[in-house]
Formats: sequence, structure tokens, C-alpha cells
Amino acid sequence: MAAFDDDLCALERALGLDSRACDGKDRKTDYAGLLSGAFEVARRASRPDLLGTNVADRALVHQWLEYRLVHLSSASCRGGKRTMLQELNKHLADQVYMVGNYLTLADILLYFFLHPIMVEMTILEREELDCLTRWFDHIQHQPGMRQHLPPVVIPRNKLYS
Amino acid sequence: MADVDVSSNAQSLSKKAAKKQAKEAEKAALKAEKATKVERVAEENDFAKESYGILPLIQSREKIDRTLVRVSELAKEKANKVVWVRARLHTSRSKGKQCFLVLRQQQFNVQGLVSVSATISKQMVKFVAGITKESIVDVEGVVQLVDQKIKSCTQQDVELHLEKVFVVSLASPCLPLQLDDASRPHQEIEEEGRVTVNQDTKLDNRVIDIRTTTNQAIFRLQAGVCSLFRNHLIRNGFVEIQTPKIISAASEGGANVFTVSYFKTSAYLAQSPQLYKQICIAGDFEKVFCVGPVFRAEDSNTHRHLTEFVGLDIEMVFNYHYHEVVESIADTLVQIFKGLRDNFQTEIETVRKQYPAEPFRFLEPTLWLEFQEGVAILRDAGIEMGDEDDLSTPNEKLLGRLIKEKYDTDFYILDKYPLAVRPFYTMPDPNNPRTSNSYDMFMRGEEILSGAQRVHDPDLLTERARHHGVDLEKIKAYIDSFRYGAPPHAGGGIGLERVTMLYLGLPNIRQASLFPRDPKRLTP
Repeated sequence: MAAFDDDLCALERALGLDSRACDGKDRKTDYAGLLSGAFEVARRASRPDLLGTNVADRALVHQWLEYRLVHLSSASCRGGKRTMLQELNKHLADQVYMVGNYLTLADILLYFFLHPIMVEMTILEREELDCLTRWFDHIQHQPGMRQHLPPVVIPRNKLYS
Repeated sequence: MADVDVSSNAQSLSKKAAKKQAKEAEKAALKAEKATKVERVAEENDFAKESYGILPLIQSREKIDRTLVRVSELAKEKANKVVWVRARLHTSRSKGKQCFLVLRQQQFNVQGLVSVSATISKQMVKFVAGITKESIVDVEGVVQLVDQKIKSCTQQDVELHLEKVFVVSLASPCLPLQLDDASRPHQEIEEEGRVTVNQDTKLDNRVIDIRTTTNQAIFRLQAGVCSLFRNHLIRNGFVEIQTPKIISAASEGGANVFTVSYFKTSAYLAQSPQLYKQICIAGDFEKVFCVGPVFRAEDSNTHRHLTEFVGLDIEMVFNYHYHEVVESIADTLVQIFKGLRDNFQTEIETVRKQYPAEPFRFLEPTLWLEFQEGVAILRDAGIEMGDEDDLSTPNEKLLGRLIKEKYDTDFYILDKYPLAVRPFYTMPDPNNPRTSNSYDMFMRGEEILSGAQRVHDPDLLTERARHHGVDLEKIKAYIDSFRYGAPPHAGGGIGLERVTMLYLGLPNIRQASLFPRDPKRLTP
């Protein structure tokens, strides 16, 4: 299941772990699925808070990771992508982070997933999904998060009213 | 026996038939009686016969000494006066003994009323209610003040109580489009789900479409742009020249040019008056401008391209630096904007009713940025582009937005474009071989003027042409015109339709052209 290796390697680097295992070869671990792999990385990095500090938050983190898995295919078609982005935008209307008010795996993995989509959106489209853009800008500025990915520049003022 | 039978049969038949016939005859008689009765009644009671009707065709049979008052003058001052008005019947609505109508004249309209009275018969009210929309009518009536302002008309304080209504020119009952539908604002269409008219339908039936108040306003404003341009330049010592449109060689490059057959050979329709402006400069006219059609055979079906448009072109000499010319051109445009803002405010408001847009903003002195500064602004916003890349249309629009955000202006100049993206006759920058002395001006993020200092030395021109791979044989006459002492000069050209469209914030350039031409449209 090399499908999630990129995400998991990026996650390892974001959490400051040595990811020498990710050099085009399969990662040397038993946990290659997205959720299980992510949990394992978080455990190795001694960051159990990323999974959620209480039961309810943990369930929500699970939910968003599932969401990311499910929507991988729908995001390839145009209509599906739009609906997904609008849903996320609506959810983030009154939330700073995806779950609760602290950084979790949901934020990190969704950031890596959404990055290529955000990069190719026009400024007008980003302004229409204002909450999502705000969250994205916040996450991409977290230390260690962006790594080698190009920054998505978000102008401070709205250009399209 | 047979005879008897036949006769009895015939008799029985004829009995039935006779009965039937008798009934039918009775019916017919009743009907005829009724008809004559109605006619008699109609004739008897129509005491207003002389006050209405369809006039015979006005073939200048006689001179009638009558003053026709303009609808725009129907106001409180004319209360209780009897006036004659010639206008179009915009709408009519009859309710029993009354008929309300709206009379329209260009951008103005007024409410009219015909009601049954001692001088006005039922037949007259019926006739008026039946006049087809858009017919031209001559009416005589009394101007009456109204208690409540009539919000739906431009003349809100008065109403015309009609005494006489004559049709001068009857319109066909099936109009290809309804004026109200054609002037409906987009928001109303969306919110209330009302009917709209397709742009193609509007353009196909231009004769009716240009009657809408919005279009009357747009083209009056466009005429204003033209006259402001002319007057400002003439005041500053420019001479208007006329240049030929049938030329022997393509001026800007062979790709986008229309060919016409010219006796035994073929010729081209001019893409720009560039060559002739420069010959006039070398011919000592110093400051020239010309207003005329420009033909570009670009197969672009966009909202801002036409194959034929009106070009307003300027060319002038300068003493030591081409910025003298840029300032002059920018000043001309700013004077046009000010003139429109000060003298055409009614037109701008009328257009804004159908096409809402922000008022056009500009700075004084005009915002003037170098190309590299523009590139830096774009790069700050995350756009990647090379130092010598031309601005693509989306980048131009984005730059317009960023500059509007930063400086609050819809009009700005971008100076010192890279040499690689400009035509061969552009003068290179002596201080930096990769840039040129060329400039573009933008309105609302879209380019309206492209200009530069021209190469006025034949040897340098030959070298630049060779560098661009232009066939020197084809431009021999052009290069020769600089051999006999040519002064340093620069200039630029703007498109009348584009300036109108961008000043008003219209969505499509075809709305700023009376009879637009594009790859798919050749009529009307």
C-alpha cells in the first residue's frame, strides 16, 4: 500500500521525525494504511495530542481522516471537488482548526491533500472559499508543515468584492 | 305515380329544408339587423371622429405650422397648457372608459391618459388602446400636474390628458423583441425569473434594440468620448489627418489582415494607421491624430474583440524624452474621463440602472509604474512569471485588481516593457538592452492603449526588422520614409469601443458598438 507513503513521509517530516525510510522504496513498517500509519507516526513522535485529547475529539479526527479517504476519488471530478471544498468551507466557518481548537492529524493530512488543489485555484476561487483559505493559510504557516511545498500566497485584502 | 312520389318526396324534403332555411334566414336577418344597428349606433355616437385616426402617409403634401414640444420639456412649468407632442407609444393599458399610455421620446417618457368624456368617445378610447406598440403618434393634450409623482416615467410631475391622437407611422404588431425585456437589469431577471433578450437577438434586431434608454445613453456617451478626444487635441495644437484604409502591405504582420480584391491584384484593409501617422510626422506635421476604422482579422470570439473597431490614434514629436509624449497621452485620457464625469452624468446613471458598475476612478497625476514593478506586485501575489514574459490576459486582470486594491485607481500606465515582446519598430532602451521605450495603459485591468517611441533611424530600423525576421522587401517603403531626416517621435492608439465599455463597466464590447463586427457577425 504505497498509496499513502507520500502523505505519511510528509507527516513524519512535519513532526520532526527522521524519514530516511522514504526514498522511493516502500516504507519499512507494518502500518501502511493512512489511518493506522498516521497514528503510528504520531505515537513515534510522542504526539498523542494530535489524535485528539478526549474521546469525542478522537472520533472527530477519525471522521475527518475517513472523509479524506472517501473524497480522494470524488475530488478528481470537477463537480465533486467543488462540493467537497464548499463543505469544508462551511465547516470551518466558526472553527480555527478542523477538530476542537488545536492542531490534529485531521488538519495536517487534509493540508497535504488539499495543497495541490489550492495551488491551482485562481484568486477569485480562493476568495469565494474564504474560511477554507483562512484555515489553509494558518496551517501552512505552522512550523515544519510546509517543507518543500510551494507556499500559496494569500493577499491580506480581498481583491474581489 | 312516380311523379307524385317524387313530388311528395320533394315536398317532404323541402318541408324540412324549408324549415331549416326559414330558421337560418331568421338568424341571418337578426344578425344583419344587429350589425346595422351597431354601425348606426357607432356612427351616431362617434362625435370624436375628427380627433383620432391613422394619418395618411406624410409625403410632405402640405406645411403645417405647429410646434411639437419635446417630452423632456413636459414639466410643472407647462401645467394647463395645450401642447402637441410626437413620440412613440411605449405601452398602453385600457380599463373600461380609460386608457393609460406611456409616450417615449429617446431617453424620456411621460404618462398619457385618454378617458371617455364630452369630447372623447368610447370608440376613440378603443382605438387608442388598440394602437400597436412602438408606433409613432402625434398627440394633442393638456399638461396636468399630478398629486403623486409618477415613478415609472422620467417626467414625474405631470401627465398628458390627450384630446387628439393620430398615428403617424404604425408599427407591425409582432415586434421581434420587447423593449422592456431588452432593458431589464440582470438582477431583476435573476431574482424574479423574468424574461430577458439574448444578445444575439438584440444585435440581429438592432433597430429596435438601440431605442432602449440604456443604449441611447451608451452611444451618446461614446459620441462624447470622440468629441472630447478631438477637442482636447485640437486645443493642444494637433492636426487631424485622414489615412488610407486600403493598403498594399500588412502593417503589423501578415497574420491578422483582411484581403480585398483590388482590380487585378489584391490589397489589404489597414490594421492600424501606424505607417501613415509616421509619414506625416516625418512630413513636418509634428502633432497628428486620426479617428477611423481599424480592421483586425483575428478569429477571437471574446467579450472584448471586434474585427472592425474605431481607432483613436495619436502620434507626436518630442524634444528629448519620450515621456513627454506619454504625459500628453495620459493627459488626453484624463481629460476625457473628467469630461465624461462632468457632462454625461445622466447617461452614466441611466446605464448603471441596467448594468450596475462601480464609478470609474482615476488618480491625478496618473499612476505610472514600470513593468518590473508590475511583475513584482504579481509575484508578491503568488504568480510566477519570467522577467521578459509578456502579461497574459488573466495576469493583466489580476494586476488591475491588485493595483485597484493598493492605489484605488482603475487607470494606470505600465512603462518600459521588455523589448522581446514588442513590435520591431519599437525603440530599444539605451540604458538596458532588454527593455524598450514602450508603454501600455490600462482601464479596469484591461489594456486600452499600446504605444512606444518609434525607431526613426533607417539603419537601426533595418537591424530591428532583420532581428524580428520581417521581410525587408515588404517594408522597404516604410524604412525609406525615415531616410530624409525624421524627428524623434512616439505615439499610441486607443479603441473607442473598448474605452466606452471599460469606462461604463459594460460586460461585452458588442454593447459599445452600434453595429458590431466579429468573426460570426456581418449584419446588420
